[in-house]
Amino acid sequence: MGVLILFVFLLMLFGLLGFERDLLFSLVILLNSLIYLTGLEDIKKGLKRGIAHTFVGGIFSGIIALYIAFKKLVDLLYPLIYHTPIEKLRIEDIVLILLGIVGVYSTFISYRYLRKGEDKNG
Amino acid sequence: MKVDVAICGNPNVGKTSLFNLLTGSRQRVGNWPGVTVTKKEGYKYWKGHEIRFVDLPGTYTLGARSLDEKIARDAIVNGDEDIIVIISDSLSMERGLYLLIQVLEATAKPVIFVINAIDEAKRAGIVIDKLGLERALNVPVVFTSALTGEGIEELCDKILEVYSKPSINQRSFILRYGVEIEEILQKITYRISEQRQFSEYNLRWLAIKFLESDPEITKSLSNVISDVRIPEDVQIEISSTRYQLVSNLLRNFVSESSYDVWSVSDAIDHVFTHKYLGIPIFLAILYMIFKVTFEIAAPLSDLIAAFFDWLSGVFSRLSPNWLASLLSDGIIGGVGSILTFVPNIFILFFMMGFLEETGYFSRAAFVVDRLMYYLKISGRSFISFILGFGCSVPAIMSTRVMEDQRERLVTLLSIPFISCSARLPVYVLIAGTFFGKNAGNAIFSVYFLSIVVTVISILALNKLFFKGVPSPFIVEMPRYRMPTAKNLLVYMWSNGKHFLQKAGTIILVSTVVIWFLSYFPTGDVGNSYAARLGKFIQPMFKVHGFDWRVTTSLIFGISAKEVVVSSYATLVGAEEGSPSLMNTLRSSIDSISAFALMVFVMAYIPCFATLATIKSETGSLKYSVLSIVYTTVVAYILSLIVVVVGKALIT
Repeated sequence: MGVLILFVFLLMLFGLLGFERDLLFSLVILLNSLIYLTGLEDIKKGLKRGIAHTFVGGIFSGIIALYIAFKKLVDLLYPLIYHTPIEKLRIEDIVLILLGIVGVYSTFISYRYLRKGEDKNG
Repeated sequence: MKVDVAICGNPNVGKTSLFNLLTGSRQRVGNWPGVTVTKKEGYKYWKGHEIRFVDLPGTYTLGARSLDEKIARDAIVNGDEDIIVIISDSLSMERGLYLLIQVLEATAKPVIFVINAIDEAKRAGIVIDKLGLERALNVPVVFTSALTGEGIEELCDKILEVYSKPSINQRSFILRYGVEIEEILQKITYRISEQRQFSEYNLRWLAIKFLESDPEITKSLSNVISDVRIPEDVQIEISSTRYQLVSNLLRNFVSESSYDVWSVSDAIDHVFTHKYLGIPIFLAILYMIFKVTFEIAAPLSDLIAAFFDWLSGVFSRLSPNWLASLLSDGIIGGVGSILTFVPNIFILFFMMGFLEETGYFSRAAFVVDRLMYYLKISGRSFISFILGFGCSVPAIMSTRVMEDQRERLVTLLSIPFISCSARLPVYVLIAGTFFGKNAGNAIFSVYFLSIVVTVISILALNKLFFKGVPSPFIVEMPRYRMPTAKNLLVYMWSNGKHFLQKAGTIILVSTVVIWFLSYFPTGDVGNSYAARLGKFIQPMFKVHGFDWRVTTSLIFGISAKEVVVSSYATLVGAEEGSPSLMNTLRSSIDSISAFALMVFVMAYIPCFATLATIKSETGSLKYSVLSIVYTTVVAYILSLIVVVVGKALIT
């Protein structure tokens, strides 16, 4: 649970700070943290309901991380082809990629739990 | 031997997937209801025999209240097919059996009941007693899986067997509806039997449909049956008797596992259809699609552009001059400028395909329906809008599922405002030229605006033509599925190839025409026919800040929206001798006018194909003309607002 809260906190931080000064993209990151946050509230109604948020939130984090990773890869390859200056890899990119990896892992764990059918009332 | 087979079933049970497997076709499939709105045919040669398959639109009943349901019912009741194959989903057999009962009541033709997605039933621990079902219904039952191909050969064998030995399918299915209803049915059947025009139909079925207040049959029989007293709750009684039979069949022959009461699909839906998160998630997904479409495709587009630059340079050295200009500025400059956007288009369709195949679109429709119902718009319209992001033509055709004709007309006239993929090259060119790092956001904002304009358009047209309550929207939530790579590639190719076909046909012809008009009569583009045409209407767009090249391109863009880019490229190439498209664009209009141009292209006159579809779907040319006038006026006003507000904000 502590890891989840840290996860949400970091995502909200990036969202609120305005990732890459791109308002819409930072709103997507903020939405990702809201998916996790509302899950914390839903856990009270049923464990599976809460875990559903981790499952979907993880997918979102994974997509965001994949997008950034691909973009960074292009940013590295582009200068090699067109001989333009290489852009530096920023700390927030690395953190978001790492968050994405944790997110995908949490989706995997959530999926296994949801398939178990332990909490049949949702 | 030649056998004709009709494939029907509930929406989204995998009919088209099975049809593709059987016939080797590449018809579009989707994990949402309403993908098939017309009949599609395909052939299979099996053990020396020819089997013709007809894929019918999905339907829950034989009620025929919408156009697609009517197509399915007409084919079942009046069609020439020898055998009817009813497809049911193994995890929602209740609805499949309900349809089967109705088909058995309607026709004496041989029927085969196919239970599809049997692999998923096995995974979910569901056991179906095939032989028991066959004996109870006196109908052959086949298990299939459109995903793994299981049961396809057995189905083909069964079709040939049923056709060659009709005795194995000779049945007389009669479901008794209780004493009171049976007496009424007898009276009605007797009355109908006196009328010669109904002799080719199953009279009992006609009587049942009459009791169910089927609009078409009630209209035909109202003169014949006027004095029969019909109890008020007869429709409920009929459907509950059918459901009773379905329930008995399921109880006796299907053993459901108690496993997985709250499935993974339910868990995902809990978040995706969340009261507060649902709409933001939909918008975020839409945003990511356009951001990725623009940014991921950019390096590939640059490579293609560099290739065409090189090719244009090679051909520009040819002689005579006019031929070099035609090839380098006209054909390569024009068509090449369009082919540059192939990566964008294919990536867009890949992601649309992913969302469609997973089953997300039904959720999006459900989430948005809450908002749309509040605005007195049916959620059914939304499904057409989503299709409109790909192309307006299938989107307009998809309105056939709408039962209310006025509602359908309003949706149909508003669909051209949804930004189709053909407009993407224009947005990418302009956004890439003027908005740098924010290009993705600029493109998303135009798409978002297109949704807003479409909703406002429906509201406005509703005020004028349709003042009632929107018809209730019932959408089935298909299970989430991980798309197969093959299906995604087929989806991407079948949608994206139209773009390539257009590049080789209408865009090529348009670029040659515009090159001709820009080269003659003097060879000076500034005094050419194209320039005269553009300069003639340019004063109307003086406030917008569009120059004559832009207005000329807009005129040619009526044939197909991509032509706006190719025309502009041809005009610039003819003028400057090289396709320095972005530089010329940047020097001729400012960023506010550029955004206004994106908005104008988003809304103005639908392409020829869309106009032709509007005419064929409404059966009247006046709606095509109305669409031209309506969209142009809206586009002009909207783009003017962008300019006025933009300039006011800057000053």
